[in-house]
Amino acid sequence: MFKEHIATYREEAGKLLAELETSLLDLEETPGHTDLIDRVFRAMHTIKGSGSMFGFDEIATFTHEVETVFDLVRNGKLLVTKELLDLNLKSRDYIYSLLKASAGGHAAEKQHGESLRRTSPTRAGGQPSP
Amino acid sequence: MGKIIMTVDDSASVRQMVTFALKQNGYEVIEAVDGVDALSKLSAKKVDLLLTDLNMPKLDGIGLIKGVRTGTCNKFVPIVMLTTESQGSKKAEGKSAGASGWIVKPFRPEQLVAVVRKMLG
Repeated sequence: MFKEHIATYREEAGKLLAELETSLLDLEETPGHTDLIDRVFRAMHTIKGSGSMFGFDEIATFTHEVETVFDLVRNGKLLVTKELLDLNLKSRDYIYSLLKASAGGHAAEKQHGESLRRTSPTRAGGQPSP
Repeated sequence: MGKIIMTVDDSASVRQMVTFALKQNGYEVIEAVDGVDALSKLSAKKVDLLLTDLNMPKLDGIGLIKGVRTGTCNKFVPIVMLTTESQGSKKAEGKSAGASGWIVKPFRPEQLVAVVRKMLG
């Protein structure tokens, strides 16, 4: 894969992570907003899908787990709660740290990623939708 | 003149890679960022093959396939979906909407070119 494709992915993922943060914060105000929920899901889906295309395997694997949680939300099987949004904001920060590390920044703390995985509603049992 | 292929994806990096791989192999490429953009461009231009992502804003891949199949200009164009492993059920939905085949992400440029060659005969 060429360097310019990888550079485009890094730029794209950075923008999507910024949009993701905004959408998650907006969801705190309007938790049932379907457009926002779709936007969050799509951002994660693209970060994961394109990441897997360009060799960002750790980002793709981790983001897939977060995307799975938001797919449950999107399908009405999980409620948007403050705890869920906090977890997703922390996950967003972790994905950002993985992205930075891939560009030669400080290595992301893998233990942090693992602790986020453990608290994911798909593992810990979340608050189902009524 | 090379065959004309439209690639539809909201991911700039995927569009860039697909366009690069196809142009290197002599194809003319038109890019679209979502289903609405694609339908708008397809209303004025006949293409030989359509490659589309599924999860896109404004109009997703399934909506695009349905729009193309009920349109006029490119009604019978072969359509290949670019999917991920987690979208298994979408493959069946895409097929019933009129897709001709699919490629699962991640794929390598040479895999893409092989599928394109096969689809174009």
